[in-house]
Order: sequence, then C-alpha cells, then structure tokens
Amino acid sequence: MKTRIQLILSFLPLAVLLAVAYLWPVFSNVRASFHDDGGTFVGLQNYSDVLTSYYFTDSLLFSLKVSVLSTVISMVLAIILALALRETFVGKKLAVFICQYNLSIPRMAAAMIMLFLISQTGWLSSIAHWLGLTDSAAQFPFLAYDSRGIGLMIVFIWKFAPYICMSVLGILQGASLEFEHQAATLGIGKVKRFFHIILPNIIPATAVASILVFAASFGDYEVPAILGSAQSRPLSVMVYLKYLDPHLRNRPEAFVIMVLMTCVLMAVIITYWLLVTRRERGRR
Amino acid sequence: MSLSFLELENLSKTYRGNAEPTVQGLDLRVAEGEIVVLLGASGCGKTTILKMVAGLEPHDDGHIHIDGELMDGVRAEKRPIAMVFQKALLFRNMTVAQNINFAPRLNRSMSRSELAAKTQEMLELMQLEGMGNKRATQLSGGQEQRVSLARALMTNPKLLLLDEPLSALDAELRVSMRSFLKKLNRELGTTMLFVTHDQEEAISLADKVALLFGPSLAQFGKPEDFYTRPATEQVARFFGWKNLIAAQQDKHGVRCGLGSFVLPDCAPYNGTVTLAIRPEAAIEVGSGSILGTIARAEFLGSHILYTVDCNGVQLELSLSKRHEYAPGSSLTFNLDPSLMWVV
Repeated sequence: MKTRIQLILSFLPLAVLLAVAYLWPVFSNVRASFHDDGGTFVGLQNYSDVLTSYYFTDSLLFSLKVSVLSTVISMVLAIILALALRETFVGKKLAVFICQYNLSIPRMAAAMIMLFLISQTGWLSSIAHWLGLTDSAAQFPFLAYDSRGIGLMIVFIWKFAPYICMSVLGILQGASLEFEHQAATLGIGKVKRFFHIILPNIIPATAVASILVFAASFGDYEVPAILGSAQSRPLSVMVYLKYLDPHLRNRPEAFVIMVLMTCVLMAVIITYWLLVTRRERGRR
Repeated sequence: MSLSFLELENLSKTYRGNAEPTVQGLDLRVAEGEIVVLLGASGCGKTTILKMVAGLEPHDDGHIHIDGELMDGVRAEKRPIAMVFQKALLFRNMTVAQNINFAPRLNRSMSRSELAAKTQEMLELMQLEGMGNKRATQLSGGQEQRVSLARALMTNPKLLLLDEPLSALDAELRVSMRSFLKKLNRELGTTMLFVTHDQEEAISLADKVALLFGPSLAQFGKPEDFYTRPATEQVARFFGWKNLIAAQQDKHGVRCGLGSFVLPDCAPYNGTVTLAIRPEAAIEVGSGSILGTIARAEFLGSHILYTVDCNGVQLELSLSKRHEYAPGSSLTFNLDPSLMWVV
C-alpha cells in the first residue's frame, strides 16, 4: 500500500507541470492586467479603459456570435452526421475516416483551404460562373473577409462538427442503441426515441465537446486573422493588435481582454458544471 | 389476456461481410400461450432470430407472421411484441414506476388513472409492492429484471421476446425467476419466445424447445423429446446421450455388439444406423444378460458414472451408489429400450 508521501510524490511531476505551463502564465497575465506599461499598479483602471472603449463591446459580441453560432450549428450537424454514420452503407469507413482525419488539419490550413473555396475569386465562385449562375466574381456572395463572420463560422463548423460527431457516434453505437432497441420494442416511435432516448444519452458528451468547440472558436486567432474582416474583429485579434500596438501604454489592455476572455470561458464551464451537478442530484 | 401465435417461414439472414448465413431456411411455429425456447451455443443466431421477429434486424428471405399478420418490413414499434434484453436496460433517471409505465405514458395510450392502476397491478404481479417510488439505481439484479419484464408487459404484447434475461443473475435467482416466468405465462397466457444457451433453463421453462446448430434448426419439439427421441447424433450428444454405437436395423429390430433390441417407436428402416443409449439405460444390474468389465468409475455425487467394456463396445453407464463396482470387476445388466433410440 502506498503511503501518503509516496502518493504526493507521484502527483508532484504533474503538479509542477500544471503550475509552470498553466497556472504561472495565467497568474502573470492577471497580474499584468492590473499594472500599466511601466509596471506600476493601477488597480481596475485598465479594466475600466477596456470596458468603456469603443471597440470592446462590438468585439465581444462579434466573438460570442461567431463562437455560439459555430458551436450550435456544429452540434446540430454533428448529431445528424453521427446518426447517418451509424447506419450501414457503402463508403461508411471512408466517411468515418474523413471525419477523423479532419481533426488533424491545422486551423491555419483549414482557413486557407476555405479561402480558396469560398472567396469571390475561389473555386465555388468559379464554378458558379462556369454554370452561368453569376456573371462575374463580384456577384458571388461575400463570404470571406465579411463583417458578419460567415467565413469564420464556415471554417469552425467544417473543422469542429466532425469532432463533435466522433464523440456522439461512440455513444450512438453503444449504450444508446441498446436503449433505442428497448424503446422500439415497447412501441416508442422514431421521433419520441430521438427526444427521450437519444438526446438524453448524447447530451453529456455533446455538451463537453461543444464547450471545447466554443472555447476553441472563441479564442481562435488564426482563422479570423486569415478570413476575418477589418470591420469586425474578434477579441483574439484585438488582443494581438493591442499587444503589438506601437503605443506601449495600450499593451495592458491586451492582458485585460485575455483575462475577460478567460472569465467568459470559465463562466461557461461553471454553468455547465452546475447544470450537471443539479441534474445528478435530482437523479439521486 | 393476450392470445397470439408466431410463424417463421423459411427465414434467412446473412450479415454484410459474412460468407456464411447466420440463419438459414428457418421454419418455426409457436402456438398461442406457449413458451418456446431457442436453445443453442453462443453465436448460433438465436438473438438474430429474436431481433428479426422484433423488427430490429431485417431478414433477407422468408416471412414472419404474428397472429396471422405478415410482419415483413413492419417497424419494431408497430409490431405487437415487447422484448426483454439480457441487460435490464432501465432508465436510470426514472423511478421504478416511471420505468414500468414508460411506454404507455410516452404514447399516451392510457388515462392517468388507468396508468396508475395498471402500474400498481404490475408492481403487485412482479412482487415489487411499495417499490414504485424507488430509483431504478436502488434495485438488485433480480428486481431490475422484474421491472424490465413489467415494463414489457405494460404494453400488452401478443408476443413476449426474452433474450437471455436471466443470464446475468446468480444461480439461485435464476431458478426462482424461471418459476416466476412460468407462473406469469400461466396467469397471463402471453406467448413467449425465450433465448438461452443454458440447456437446464431451456428444459425447465419450455413448452417446446427449438435447438439450433449453426444457421439451421436441428430439432423442434417438447423438452422430453430431446431425451427420448433425438433427431440427429449431434442433438443426442448435446442432450447427454453418451453412447452412440454403430448398429444394423431391419424389420426385426436393431442389432449391435451388445445384442438385439426391439425399439417399437423407431421408424422402420433397413441398413446401418447409429444406436443411441442413454447412460441411465442400465436395468437389472447384477442379473442381466449383457456382460461387461468396469474400465473406469467416476464418482459424481448422486451417482457413479462407469465406463464399461462389453465385448469391445465401450458404454458409459450411470448407476446409483447402491451398485458399487471396482475397476476390473465384472458387471451384468440389461438395457431399457425406452432409453434407446436410433438416429
């Protein structure tokens, strides 16, 4: 039997790694957000500057819109895709492989691929012109660099829907299927099975995957840097711009935005955790 | 009380990617109110048959009729069946009562008062009185399976399909659940198709047993038929006919190295046959006309299994402890024709 000291020692490498790679940078970031560019403690002044600035609210709302819509649409598509992939059909293995492979494509590459695909001079525009649907490239919808963030959402959905799908598929092919069969033999129809059996079974895994997707799209820099518009910038781009601002006095704002972004993500995770805890308590 | 019957006609199924069929040309008729047990080793297609009857698995060929209605292509939820699986598959977030009335509650097929009364009736029938408000997670294995059974019976199925529902239970509970199922069958008259790999379970529960070897039906009949009239050597071996001896059959009877026997129930045949003799067939021990030498004795608690060499023919005979013989000693006996059969 391991002694208490042995247990602490075995946990120590992980604790050190967490402290150095995660906690220290977060702590440094939070500390910097309360100081000016010269290192003087300024209290909440930087926060006040950011929260009352002309750009922050727009940027926050844009980030939230893109990440929430990307997450919700990815989630819905992932469930539809997983239900389809659960069935037996010719080419199923290839379809599953593509979904799995999609995860390994870097977001930078995904953004570039989408740029070639959906920009006004991209492949889709050329195909539309070739089919006679448009007279010129300018008539093709403005999807890349657009201020509504459609291009960004397309990339996030393309990148993340297969990821959520893989999480859901495992459950659909396992425990959920047994309960669905049970319900079917009790005379429960397809629609009721979906809402009463499938959804309750996949919600926990979908929620966890969706939180990761929300976090990844909310904090992503590469995709908006390539496909984003100068009129609508997400918080991640604002952080970078503020950090590289030639006026060094603006740099603390970058730290403040990072802290606020972390707070948004923490709020989402805590809300989810509270919901799960309440549900589990209800079950007991 | 529900009345129904099931007819499987030339039913076949080959899974994608499998060269061999899982079920081939299966014909089976189940009468109203009967318990028919599908018996066979793991992987012989028993569960596939049940799933095809349930509508959970499409069949490639053949037809399924339930209560005279053709079920081909009918979705599971539209069939007049209910199924109990190996796992109880209770909904963890619900109480026992909510689990039991799950289907009529969701389908709104009963009024509130009707639902409450029927749920209570099921709780009593399953000997689960006072447990309706318990969480599904608070039940023992046997209670879980009874709730699962109640949930299935709540839908008033014409046919109840049971896929090894007792296999996860301990030995004592299995025996009591078997009696419970038989009692339910007698009280409700529900036709049951039960799958198991356990021979004892099949025999104790079934009105009729369908024994499957590979994709086809090896024998279908009353449990005692398997002990008195096995259809093939394979069936005979499966049901403990330890002695299978080459013999000649003609209109006078069956001749082998042990002598001549008249087996009136056997179909007439002229030629070489296999004579099957049950180990319990030895009678008139110590005074019979067949002489043998004990080659081996194995004590099996309630009886002793002797390997007896009778003029070159090896027999395995099960004798009570009253007849104790040491290896090498001689033994005389006769054979009871009612425990012999030609296959």
